[in-house]
Amino acid sequence: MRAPRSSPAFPPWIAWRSLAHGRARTGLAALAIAASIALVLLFEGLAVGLYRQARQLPSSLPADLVVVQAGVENMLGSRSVLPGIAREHVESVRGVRAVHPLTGAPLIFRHGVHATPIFVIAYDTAGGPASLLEGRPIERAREVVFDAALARTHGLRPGDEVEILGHAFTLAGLSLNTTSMFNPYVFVRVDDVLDIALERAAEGETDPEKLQGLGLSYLLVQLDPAADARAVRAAIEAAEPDGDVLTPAELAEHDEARTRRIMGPILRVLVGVSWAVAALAVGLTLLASVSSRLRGFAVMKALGASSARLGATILSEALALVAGGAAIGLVLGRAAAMVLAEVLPKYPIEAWAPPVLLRSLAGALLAAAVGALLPFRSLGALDPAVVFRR
Amino acid sequence: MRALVTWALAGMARERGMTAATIGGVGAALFLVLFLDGVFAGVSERIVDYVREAGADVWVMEDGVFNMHMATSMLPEERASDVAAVPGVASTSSILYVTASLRAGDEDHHSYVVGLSRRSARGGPWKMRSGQSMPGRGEAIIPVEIGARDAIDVGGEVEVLGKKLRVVGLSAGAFSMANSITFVAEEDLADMLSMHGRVSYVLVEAEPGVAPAELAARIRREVSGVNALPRDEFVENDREMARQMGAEVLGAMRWIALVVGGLIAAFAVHAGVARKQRQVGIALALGYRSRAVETALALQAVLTVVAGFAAALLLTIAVAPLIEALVPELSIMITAGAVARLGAGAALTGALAAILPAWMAARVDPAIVFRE
Repeated sequence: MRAPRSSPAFPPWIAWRSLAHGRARTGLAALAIAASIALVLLFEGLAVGLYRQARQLPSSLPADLVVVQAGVENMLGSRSVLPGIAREHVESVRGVRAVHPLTGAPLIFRHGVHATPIFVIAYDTAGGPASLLEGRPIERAREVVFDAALARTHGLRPGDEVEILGHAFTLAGLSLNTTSMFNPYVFVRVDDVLDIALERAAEGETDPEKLQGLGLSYLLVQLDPAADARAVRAAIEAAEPDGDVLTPAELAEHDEARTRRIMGPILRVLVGVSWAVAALAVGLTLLASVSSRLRGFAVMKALGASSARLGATILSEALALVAGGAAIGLVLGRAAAMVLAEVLPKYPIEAWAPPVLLRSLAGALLAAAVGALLPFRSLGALDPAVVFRR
Repeated sequence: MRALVTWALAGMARERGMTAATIGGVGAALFLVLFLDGVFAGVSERIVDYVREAGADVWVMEDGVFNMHMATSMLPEERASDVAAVPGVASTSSILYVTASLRAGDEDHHSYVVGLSRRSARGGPWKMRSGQSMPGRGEAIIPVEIGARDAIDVGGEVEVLGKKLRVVGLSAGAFSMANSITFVAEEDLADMLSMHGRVSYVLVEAEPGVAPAELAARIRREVSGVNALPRDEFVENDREMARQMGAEVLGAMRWIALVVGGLIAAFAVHAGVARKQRQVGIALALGYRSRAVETALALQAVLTVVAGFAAALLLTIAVAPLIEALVPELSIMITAGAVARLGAGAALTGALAAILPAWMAARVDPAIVFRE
């Protein structure tokens, strides 16, 4: 005969009463589980966020195809240099509607006592920041748009003056989705870069590197709507032997792959260690919680409760603790991610990304079940007489 | 009092499983903190190994440049001679340097490519695993970790900036999360960059008795268009730059681990002590004073934390070399400072975790013995 749900014999009811009885113990156990889940959410969320971040800029380029220096496969951490004539070569290919030059180079930005590696993108007719958080796009000479996270790191606002390429620029706006953990993106106009090179020549500079400005790095290619992208791609590669042709999606994929190569090994270790510690902590929390009440379970057994009923009670308790801990853990993880975003805005932590949430919750449940059922064997062999001995 | 201490110790010994579980929980939490601290310290140090080990007392570079990581510095070759003529300079070595991809097998590695001249006594690999330490034309020295990963030994082939080079040496200690260091002949790198008659950095050896900071200031005064920094400052600038490219997030995670580890450890200690409530009731019913009971419980908490701390230390020492062998990008450096910090943190956690049970013990009604 089954016990009614309101009966003291109904396992979830017993589990609930037990948790409610030891409120301090329950609260601490839930907090320990929450901390473990938050830890995993943070580390897993960091990995997911960094890989997604690496894709953002290349995948948002307003082009069907991107021409890069032959042998270069990335925007991230690579310098691409194309010959100046490349633009004419690409424009001459049938099926090409428009070609937009883009220049990119890693630099070190200094502001006050702080120095930060950045990647400067000089654009002409396309390739500027896709969306702004604050301020406006570049409209006048010697203006610059900064990645919002970079600006926050240096305490910069639109209207502030900064030094880029050794010259003063006015910060016009702050861009979104242009952060990179290695070197955040900064946008200037190609005309300004050329002006700076001309000024240097007028001042007697003879260094060809400095007179070239940043040079030509990429060509953003937009195709005629009816053009066969594959055929045009092959034709561009034939017309410009110093260049390779990639789609923005391929560039994004390569940048993500590079980030995975650089950060992947270390992130995998950190995620693995956080998982191991969290699983151990959740398991031990449940083990401690159950073991401390073996006497109570022995009483239940002495009163005729079957092992299956005791197991169901323990599992119900584990489930309730994990549910409570997970709810707190999600909030803790999210809060910690928000604090980190304030302190270190370059590093995106997607603590609430669905795959991260699912993995964390499933892992916590498994660890809790194992931890809770570990004492079950001793419970099965438990002599009801223990009630009188302890 | 003595009886209570014996009781606390005997209780821990009798419930070996629970004691081990509690110590395991504390140990795991403290391991997490120590491990992350070690990773942060190791990665931060490994990234600056080259600039620290290159053998320069003073680094000279293009004016406006302050470090090496992600920096571009180009000086006319004559500047190196100007620097050599500054009083207090014992010798100079020049390197050409660029950040580029090293293609080994099917993999690309982000790499510092350093062009070495046969005249240079400094700036080359500081530790070799096999092969020669000075590359000639068409040759390269790559980190042993890349060689192992891509099955390339001495005699194998790699590609730098589109040029195929024969591997003549495998260096040790030149591989980190942020970069690897590839040494090539200066003439080769100048060809690849179409940049002859230029150097990137001049590595200066100071004469005996000359302070590097003083010499750097003298070079800045006497040679135009250059910046000169003593090694320590140059290393610090590079560390700061590298820190902003990944290491700082490890630093932040270290603090989070400290909070999380503290919570887990506190719970484990608290759970271990709170289970004694009924026994505390018996002790109080037998006439022991609550202060003595609190002390016994605190002792149990302290012993648990000390054992957990020792377990964390041993686990980290045992696991770190294994992880370093499996993941060469990772360097784990357990410093005395980190161990001391963890010890202090553990003591604080243990004390806080013991306060609540002690407070509870003081309020236990001896009649509990008859109710349960």
